[in-house]
Amino acid sequence: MADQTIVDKITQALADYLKRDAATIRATHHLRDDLGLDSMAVIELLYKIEETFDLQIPDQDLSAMTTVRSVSAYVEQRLDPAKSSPTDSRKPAPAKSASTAKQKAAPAKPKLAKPKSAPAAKSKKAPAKLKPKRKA
Amino acid sequence: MAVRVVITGLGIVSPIGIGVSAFWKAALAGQSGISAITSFDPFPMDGYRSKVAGQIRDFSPELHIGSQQGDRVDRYAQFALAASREAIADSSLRIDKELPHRVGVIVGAGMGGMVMGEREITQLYETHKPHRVHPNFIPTITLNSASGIVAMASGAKGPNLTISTACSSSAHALGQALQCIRAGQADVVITVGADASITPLVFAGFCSMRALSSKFNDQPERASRPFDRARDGFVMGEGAGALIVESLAHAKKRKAKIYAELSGYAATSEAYHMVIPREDGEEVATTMKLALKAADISPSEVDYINAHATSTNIGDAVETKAIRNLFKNRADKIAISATKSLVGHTLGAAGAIGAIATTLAIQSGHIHPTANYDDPDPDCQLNGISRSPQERKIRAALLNAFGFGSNNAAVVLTRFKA
Repeated sequence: MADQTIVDKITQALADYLKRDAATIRATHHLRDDLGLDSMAVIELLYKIEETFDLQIPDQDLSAMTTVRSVSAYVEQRLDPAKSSPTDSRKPAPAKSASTAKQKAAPAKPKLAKPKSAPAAKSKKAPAKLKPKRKA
Repeated sequence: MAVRVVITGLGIVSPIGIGVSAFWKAALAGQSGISAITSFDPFPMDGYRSKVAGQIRDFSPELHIGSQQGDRVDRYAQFALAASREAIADSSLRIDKELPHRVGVIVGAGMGGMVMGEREITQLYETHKPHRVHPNFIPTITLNSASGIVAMASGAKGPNLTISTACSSSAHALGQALQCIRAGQADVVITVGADASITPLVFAGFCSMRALSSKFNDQPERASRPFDRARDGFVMGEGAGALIVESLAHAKKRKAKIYAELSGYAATSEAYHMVIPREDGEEVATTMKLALKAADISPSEVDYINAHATSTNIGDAVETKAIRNLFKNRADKIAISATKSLVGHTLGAAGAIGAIATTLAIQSGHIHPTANYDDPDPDCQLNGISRSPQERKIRAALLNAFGFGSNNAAVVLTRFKA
C-alpha cells in the first residue's frame, strides 16, 4: 500500500494541473488513457512531483510511471527505499542507485537528456489526442 | 489587378480597454492607460529611471480566454488568444465551415514569452539546478508560441508565421497577410500583434537605453506625449490587437461585414543604425511613398495618418519631417493621431493596435485625440495633430511603424467601396 499522504499530494498535483476535483481521480487511473495526459503533460506532472518531494527522477524511471498508483509507489520508494513494496515499482532499487550515482558523477547529463528524449519522441501524436479535452 | 483584401473583424486587449468597444470609447475620450509600476515583485522600483507603463490590470485568462489553453502560454500569447477570439467572433468567421488550410495565422511579436523567460533564467542562475527549468520553457519562449496557440484554438491550418521586427512587427504582419492572400496562399489570415514584456529585465534594458520617459513618474498619464515639446521618451505598454484579413471575394461569399480595405504595404530598411532613424526623414518618407504606390493611392487622397509617434525626441521629429517632405502643402490638411499617447508603446502589438484605431476611424469617421499634445514642439508642428477628437471622412489612411534594426513599415488602409 502506498503512503496515503503521498497519494494525496500526487492526486492534488494532478487535480491542479487538470483543473478537476481531486475526488474524481483514482489510484488506478492511467495517466494517458484515463486522465488524458499527453507525453509533455506527464513531463510537467513529474516536474511538479520533483518539486513537491524534492526529488530528481532520472529518464530511465519514466516508463514505469503510467498510473497514479505507480507514480505514488515510485515516489514512496524513492523517499524511503527500506519501506518499499516491490509490487508496483518495477525496478526500484537499481533505478535509485544507478541514478544517484550518475547524478553525483555527471550532474548535467541526465538532466539535459530528459526534456529531449521523452517529449520529442511522442509530441507529434500526443497533443492531438489531448486537444479536445483541453478545449472542453 | 491585384486581389482586393478587406478587414472583416477586430479584437483587442489594451491598457485602455479589453474588447474593441471599450477600447474605442476610451480612445475617443482621450483616456490614458498609463499608470505607475508599483513594483516588480520582489524588486522595488527605486533603481529604475522610468516607473510608468501602459499596463493591463484587469485581464483574466479564465474570463477572456475561457479555457485551459491560457495556462499553457505566456502573457503575450494569452493576449493574442483573447484578441484573436474576439476578432474571429466579430467577423462571424466559422473556421469549422471553412477549408482549414485556407485560413492562416500571422503574428507580429517583438519580445515574446519574457515573463517565463526571465523567471526561469533567474532561477537557473540562482539555484544552479538545470533540472528545475520548467519543461514548458522552450515552447513558451520561442517567438511563434502565440501563432501556434492561436491556430490550435481556432483550427486555422493555413500558413502559420511569426514576424519579429521589434516595434514594426505587427505592421509587417498585416502587410504579409495582404501578400499571403494576394499570392493565393490563403483566403483569410488571422493577423495579430502581441507583446507583454513589462518585466524587470526588459524594462531595465529600455531604461538603460534611455529610451523611456522618466520626467513624469509621478504623473503617469502625462508621460506619453508624442509631438509635445516636453516629451522625453516612450512609455512601455503591453497588449494585443487582432484583425481578420480576408480576400474581398471570400468576404462577399460569406456576406461578412467589411470595415475597410487593406490596399497596400511597403517594407524597407534604412540600413543605417540599430535604434536611430535617419534624421532627414528620407527613408521614412520613401516607405510611405512606396506603400501609397503599392496601393495605387495618390498622396492627395490621404486624409489620416496613424503615426508611429512613440514620444521620443528624435523619432517624432523625424516622422514629422518625413510627412512634410512627402505631402508638401497637404501635410497640414491630413488628420494625424498617435495611438501611443493613450496606450504607450506596445512594441510588437503597436502596429495591430494602430491598425485597429485606423480601421475604426475609417469606418466611423471619428479620429481619436493625441493625449498630452499640450505644447506643440516646433519640430513636430503639423496642423492635423489634435488634443480633441476629430471628425473626418477618410478616403485613405496610412499606418506607420518603425522598428529597431533600422526597420520601417507603412500600411495603407482605405474606405471600402463596393
